[in-house]
Amino acid sequence: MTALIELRDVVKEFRSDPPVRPLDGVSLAVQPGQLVAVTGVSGKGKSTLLNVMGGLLRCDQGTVRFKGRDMGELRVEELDALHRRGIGFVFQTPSLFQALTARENLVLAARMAGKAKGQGAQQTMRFFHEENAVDAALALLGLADRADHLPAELSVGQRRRLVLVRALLANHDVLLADEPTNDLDDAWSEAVFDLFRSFVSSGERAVVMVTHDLSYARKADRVYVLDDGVLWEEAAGVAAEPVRPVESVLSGEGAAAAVAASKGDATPGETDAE
Amino acid sequence: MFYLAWRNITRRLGASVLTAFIAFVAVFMVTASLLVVSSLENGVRLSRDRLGADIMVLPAGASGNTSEVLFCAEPVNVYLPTEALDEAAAVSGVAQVTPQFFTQTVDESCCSVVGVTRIVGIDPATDFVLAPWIVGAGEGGGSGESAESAAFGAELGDRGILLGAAAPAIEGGQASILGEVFQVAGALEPTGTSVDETIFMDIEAARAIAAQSPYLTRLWADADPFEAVSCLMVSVDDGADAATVAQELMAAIPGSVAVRTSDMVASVSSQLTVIEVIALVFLVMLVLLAVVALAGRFAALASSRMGELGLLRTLGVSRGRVGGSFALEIGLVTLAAAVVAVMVACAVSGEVVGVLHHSFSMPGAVVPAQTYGTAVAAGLLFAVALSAVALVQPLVRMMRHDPQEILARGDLS
Repeated sequence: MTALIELRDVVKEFRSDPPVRPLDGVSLAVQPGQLVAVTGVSGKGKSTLLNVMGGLLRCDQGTVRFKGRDMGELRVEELDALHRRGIGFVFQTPSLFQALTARENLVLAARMAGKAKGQGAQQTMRFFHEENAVDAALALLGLADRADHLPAELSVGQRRRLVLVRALLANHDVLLADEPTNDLDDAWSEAVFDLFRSFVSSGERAVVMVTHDLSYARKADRVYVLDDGVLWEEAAGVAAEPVRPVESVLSGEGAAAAVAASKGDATPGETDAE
Repeated sequence: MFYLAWRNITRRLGASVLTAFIAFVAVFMVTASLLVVSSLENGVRLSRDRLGADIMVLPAGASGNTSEVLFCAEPVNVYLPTEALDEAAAVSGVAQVTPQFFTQTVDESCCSVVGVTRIVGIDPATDFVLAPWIVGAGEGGGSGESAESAAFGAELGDRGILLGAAAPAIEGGQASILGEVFQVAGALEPTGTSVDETIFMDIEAARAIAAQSPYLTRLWADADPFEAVSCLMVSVDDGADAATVAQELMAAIPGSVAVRTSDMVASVSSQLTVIEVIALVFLVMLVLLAVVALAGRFAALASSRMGELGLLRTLGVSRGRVGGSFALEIGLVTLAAAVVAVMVACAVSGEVVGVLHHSFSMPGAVVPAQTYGTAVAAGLLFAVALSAVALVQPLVRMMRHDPQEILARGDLS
């Protein structure tokens, strides 16, 4: 089966003094129907990984493929088209159009996605006026009564839920979510996770989420740990017991120590890419 | 994209108003300056072309007010005896001479005219100053006892009035002036002189009004209005030297002063040149200031909006359309401000010309519709050019640093 997104030996370095290399030979494959979690210490490149996967940042070495196509070879227009229909984002900080209401933010995103999916102009317009779809999506995450509010009038948690609704409504092939449960209480975090699970349940789409919350990470189909530019996968079946590899990384022991401690329980993501 | 731009304008009203204000000031100043200078230039040109008289002969007591008499319709109630007419006609080099009789300025308090208007009596039989500029008489028409002049005299009669180009409109073609009812017999083309702001009537009718006017009663203690003239308009023979004729007129008519109208126009023309140069310097500085101010404003807007522009990119909107959306928003605000600015400029330029006209004795002519059209087009084009120039820096920045990348790197939220 062709992976939706496949990274192979990806290196990304930011020019600074000294240079920072958040991704140092990362390999990873995201298959259709998968819910993938990436965790790791803050500031170690998890967001960079998502941005490289999504084609927002170009890698310095290695390849990033979307449905088998090398994203490095895509022209800007093709990359734009990919973002309209193929890959959606939920950023760590909820980004919204401040001059648009909650509903209008969703309609705009739906308009982009609707056009991208090749609907005729008439159908697209009908879709825009199909407010039921947007309202239903808002209700899904408890925002029905905030539909006509501007982002500045929403709480941080409500803004977070709104960007999640927007991302889900656009119906991309892959959704890359950076700390999607930040600012959410447990109940809403559960709801978001359930939505992600539902999103991938058709077996055609995938979600990659970066999270610090191990309890949610471990509910994913695959769990990866990024540390010192290296991506490790927590071995299948090990997630529940024992959990030391991931936690040891998060506690600052480092990937090498984690590997040593787990005695092979953690394996490089490369194996998943095969 | 239009919807987003529109919402950004209407829901960030403070920011939009600030941007619009800068554009408004710049476009208003440019358009108003164009209109004012055009009006003054037009006034000078018309004055030069349509003065009709080469020399004005006024009582010596009015000598300090010749510019005001010529350009500002200021009535001068100092009079010459009617004999001056014959004395002037006898001077060598004088081709034509016609008298005028200034009554007083009238307004709504005494008459059915709107605003303030000067009432002047003319002699249709000898007039050569107004006859060519009666609407419909045709450019270059009538000199001396022409057919137009004769017809004009017959039409004016003793109860007819002739309206200057800038005189107030008379409702129903009938006006009550100082208790007398007059019929509108015609109107005059713009001349750039006091003629434009004057209502003319037969000289005898004007004298009768003056004789009964309570405001002028004191003047007639020592003089008879029916034996007085306010000024003589004189044209000289071809080849005659106007300066020499003026000297001879002053010698022939005791207590008079003869002024060459061309000297007055030349003087005003040179004043106008100075005003134009000053205005040009200020305009250039203003344009530069406006470009800098708007560029700074647009750059600040782009910076504050970089996160949203990046978001558009992550939604798959092309770089060109993202820049276009920003430019559309800016363009709509600037264009709206420009439209208001040119409208206000058109509305107030007449007032500005009026102030210059009356305060500095400058000629002021009604600006032709074509000039308004040109000034409006120039103002709007200026707004477009101004926006385009001011948008260069923010757009170049967007192209160099894709907001999508900035967003992805976490530099913006």
